[in-house]
Amino acid sequence: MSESMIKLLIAALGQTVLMVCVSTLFASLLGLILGVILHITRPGQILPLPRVQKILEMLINAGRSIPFIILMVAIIPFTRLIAGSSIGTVAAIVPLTVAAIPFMARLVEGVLMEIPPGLMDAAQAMGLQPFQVITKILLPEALPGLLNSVTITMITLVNYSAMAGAIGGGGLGDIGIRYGYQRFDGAVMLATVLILILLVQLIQSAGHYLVKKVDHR
Amino acid sequence: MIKLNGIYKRYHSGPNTIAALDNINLHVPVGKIMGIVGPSGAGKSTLIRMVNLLERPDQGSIIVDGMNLLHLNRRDLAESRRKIGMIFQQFHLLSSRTVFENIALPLELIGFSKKEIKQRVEELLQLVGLADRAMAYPAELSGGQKQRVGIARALAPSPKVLLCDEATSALDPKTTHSILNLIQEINRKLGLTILLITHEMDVIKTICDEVAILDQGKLVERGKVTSIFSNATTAVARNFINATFHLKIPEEYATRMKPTPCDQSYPLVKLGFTGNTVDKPLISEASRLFNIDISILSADVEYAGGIKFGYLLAELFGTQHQCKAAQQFFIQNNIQLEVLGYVRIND
Ligand SMILES: Nc1ncnc2c1ncn2[C@@H]1O[C@H](COP(=O)(O)OP(=O)(O)OP(=O)(O)O)[C@@H](O)[C@H]1O
Ligand SMILES: [Mg+2]
Repeated sequence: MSESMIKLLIAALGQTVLMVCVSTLFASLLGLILGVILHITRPGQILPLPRVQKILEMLINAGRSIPFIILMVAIIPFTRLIAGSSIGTVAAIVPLTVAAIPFMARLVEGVLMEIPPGLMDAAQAMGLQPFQVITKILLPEALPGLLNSVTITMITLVNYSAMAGAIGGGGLGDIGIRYGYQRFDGAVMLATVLILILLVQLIQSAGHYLVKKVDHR
Repeated sequence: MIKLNGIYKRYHSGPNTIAALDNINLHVPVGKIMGIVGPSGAGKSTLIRMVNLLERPDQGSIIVDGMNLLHLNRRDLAESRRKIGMIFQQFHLLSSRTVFENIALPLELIGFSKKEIKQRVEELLQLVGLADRAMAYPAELSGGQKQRVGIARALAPSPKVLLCDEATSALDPKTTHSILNLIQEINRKLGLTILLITHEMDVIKTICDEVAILDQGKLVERGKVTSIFSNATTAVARNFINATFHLKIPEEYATRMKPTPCDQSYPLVKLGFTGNTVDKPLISEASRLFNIDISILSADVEYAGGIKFGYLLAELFGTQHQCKAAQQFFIQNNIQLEVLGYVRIND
């Protein structure tokens, strides 16, 4: 492989990492908020709001049913509004984030559902207000599961980011398609695949390590 | 301290309506330990959860420390709940917090400073005997230790009332005893009013001053523990009381026992001591007065609340006439007497 090819791969890795990290950050935060709202507004939970719950439920289902490649194209006007352009690595972060929010929200909801309901009794009995229940009980108790959700979301975003090449987002996926697929360069294809595998492995191990560190159950 | 008046609670499951609580009136005086016992499904959990409004009644009023809980808004209710500690069968500790941090949680809510929290938590750890486990996580503790943390957490904001929802039902007998001792100690030291529910009469016998018996959503009996043990009238109550005594006729006797007297046979009697029984050494007195021998096969007698109660299985050796007279004597002294049968002498 030529030196310029290696440089190209390194640059592509940088773009992938940038897209994945930034979109993971935003999607995790927003997904966490939506997931918590989805959970606490259920009947029998600390802030039952059936209407809000239903609407949120519908939005999340809708968001999750659109294939990423379609979503990316469909929200181009929105992307342009946020990122100032609809093409490039930074612009790709917008659809990646939008796609990952409902995904993350669902994972968060599942994690929160695992918290023993008895803890809510204990919280009420101690006189915690709803907001205190979230900050002092739900989030700390769910932390291992939440970190696991972030890990899964991040890996999914590595996957999605490979498609971002379609709107000029660059990254390893883009290199793989352009050199490996369109120009039949087997060595480049292999290199991108290997780098992607290593990247996912790294994310998974780091996630695993963090989960273990905060899990006292 | 706790007053429940005319509490009704119904649950609807499909077309059926279950009256979980049916006109409950209950008063727990300051500083007393009141126990509620009843069979599964009687409504015990529903009842105790009324006292801090984890469950709302359909009807009735709930007054704790002079405060009508149903009239409070959410903020004031949360405030009032800090005066009502609660412990649970499954402990419900936060797995993400250490023992220290679990106990500190209610204090954070009140806005104690770091220093005040440290001082109060250490005090509580001392009280429940866990000073050396402060930095452990709940997963590293035994069931008994977890319940001690639960108790310390409940006591942290200096409540006036402690609610115990089957607090010892997940523990082995020895641990149960140590937790009950702790609850009693707290009652004596801090003057806390305690309401506990259980399905074990043994728990009631060990620490309660007063007991109420709940059956199918109704309080069917209530009174001082000693008087319930001696005077219970309902079948549910009697069953619970009898379940605390573990008397069996030895197998070998059972095979030799006949329902009616015959030659060379002696009566096997069950003697029941209750609160009404005259407090005298009745067995040796009977032996002396009627010139009979009394052989005790098995006994389960306990001393609770200043009164002896329980059962004895004994054989009476003497002529038929002497034995009859002795039985009369026992009955006169308010021993509950039951002739279980007549045992033939071994030949
Ligand atoms: N949330 C609920 N929905 C419907 N029915 C309920 C609910 N909670 C309790 N019940 C019913 O109310 C009755 C009383 O229940 P409760 O849990 O208070 O009984 P318990 O005396 O605590 O029994 P156990 O000793 O088994 O815990 C039962 O028939 C139960 O099925
Ligand atoms: Mg129960």
